[in-house]
Amino acid sequence: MSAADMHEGALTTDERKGMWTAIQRPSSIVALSLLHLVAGLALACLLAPLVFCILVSVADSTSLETPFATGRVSLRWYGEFLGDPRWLVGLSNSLQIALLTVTISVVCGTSAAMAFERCRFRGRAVIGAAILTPLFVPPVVLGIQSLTFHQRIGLWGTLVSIAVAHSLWAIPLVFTVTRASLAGVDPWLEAAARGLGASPVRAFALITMPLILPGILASAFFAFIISLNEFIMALFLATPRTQTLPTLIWPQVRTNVTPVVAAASGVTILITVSVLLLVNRLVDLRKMVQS
Amino acid sequence: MTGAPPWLLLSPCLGLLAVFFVLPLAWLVRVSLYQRTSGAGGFYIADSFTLDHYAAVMTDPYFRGIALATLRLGLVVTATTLLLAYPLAVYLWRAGPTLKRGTLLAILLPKLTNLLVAMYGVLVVLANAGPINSLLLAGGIVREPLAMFANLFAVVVGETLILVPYPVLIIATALHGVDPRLVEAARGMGAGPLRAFYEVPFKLTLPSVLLAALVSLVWALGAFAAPVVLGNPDLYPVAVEVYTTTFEDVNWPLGATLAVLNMAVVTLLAMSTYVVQRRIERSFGR
Repeated sequence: MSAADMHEGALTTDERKGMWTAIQRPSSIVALSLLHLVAGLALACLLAPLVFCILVSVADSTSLETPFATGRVSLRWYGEFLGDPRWLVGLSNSLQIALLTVTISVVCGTSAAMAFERCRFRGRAVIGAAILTPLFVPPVVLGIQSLTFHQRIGLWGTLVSIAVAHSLWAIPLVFTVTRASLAGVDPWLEAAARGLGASPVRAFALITMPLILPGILASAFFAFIISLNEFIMALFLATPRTQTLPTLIWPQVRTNVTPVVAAASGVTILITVSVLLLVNRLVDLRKMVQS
Repeated sequence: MTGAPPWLLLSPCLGLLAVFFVLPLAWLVRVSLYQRTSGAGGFYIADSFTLDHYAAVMTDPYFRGIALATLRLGLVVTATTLLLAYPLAVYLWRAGPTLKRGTLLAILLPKLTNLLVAMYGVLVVLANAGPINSLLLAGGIVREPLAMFANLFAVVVGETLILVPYPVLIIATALHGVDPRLVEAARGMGAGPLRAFYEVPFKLTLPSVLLAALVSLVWALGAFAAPVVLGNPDLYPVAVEVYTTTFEDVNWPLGATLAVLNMAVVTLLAMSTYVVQRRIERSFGR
């Protein structure tokens, strides 16, 4: 089967011809509906916490009730969130750190991805594995190693300190996503532009860059979401001046659980969902499992 | 830029990793070998050298309890995660284009939102006044609310929820790589649909199931949010101990020691699984 046949159209035809024809058999009807049931239940379990978090945040109640229980919807907890400077400073810190993380990880991740897709060099396997390694290091280890090191070099207590730590997770993601989108661009297109007299920079800017831009943007948004929501490294690195939204939510969840936490969570869910939908528009998420 | 030398393109990435990942890890090992300070001023005694923290962790039954709690949670969570992830991966593999996109979004969303928010959501769902208990009470199935939080059950639910996207993506990718003609061949030779699934895609994706198990275990051994929000102190794994040692006891050297040991276990696991996976793949003749 050629690479082109592996695309969805061919696969679904295969499915219709192949496995789905088994539907007539009673045993496979049972198996299929069981699969639907299990998957549906699993998805419901995955989403239920987020849905209830949102519901609690818009309920007019001082305890953890949903509007179904109270019968009244209210945005008072969002008002409380917006009226408290502590939360607003946290939100602003979180956004600044996320933007710094995006900048660092897009520069580092994209350039490394270009080296892997466009250049020959020795030790590709080792370097590729090294770039992905931080993803598999427990966040607590990353947190305390960054804390001790940043304290030693005097970086501790700055927003950059947290952004650099977040970049350890964001770079491998940007690297992987950008590499995948670069692999889909024919290098001869750029070579053709060079042959027609374009300088290397111009050829890249006019040909390759526009083609991989959706991939870079998607990875930038992923980096943004990761940084916005990461809290274990932030917990180790944050000082009273550099609290992020998650580190402010943390003591609240541990001790006094009030619906204002749900509102703070609702804000992060809202930002995350919007960014994720934007990513969905930019790139085909299905490629994540079909490459 | 095709003309740019690779070392120039790689230098920002590798430079950052060297300075902010490799160096800090080495420094962490050094900090774990310092003596702690008894009073104020600094977090450890400069130029000191001691193996006391390692000796303490190895011999103290308190730390043995933490190691056991960590391992138990890791294994249970890995098992539940795989049980949930495999059907989801199969579902993702069989789904049509629109359903696939929606399912992927639903799987990614909890992973991409704040861990704490997800844990808080689990807490709300499992609480005495939460929807599950309300339904059970209203249906007359139980007289009193079931205690579903501050115990191992809640921690496993929470941690599974955090981890499940990774194995789903790993296994679904492997399933998509299975040649559909092999399945048809199995069917043509008389295998039923379930038998054909078992003989071809299931067996072919076993190496990635192993990889998925490893990734889950690595993450589960570093569990932090779920045990604190949903568990009780008896269930706290090593990650929580690192945090309390570092911040509540302000004992950086001991916190560093625990982190170094956690890292060592994870590295050993990753290496041994890599070896096993290579062996399985070779037995398939790949």
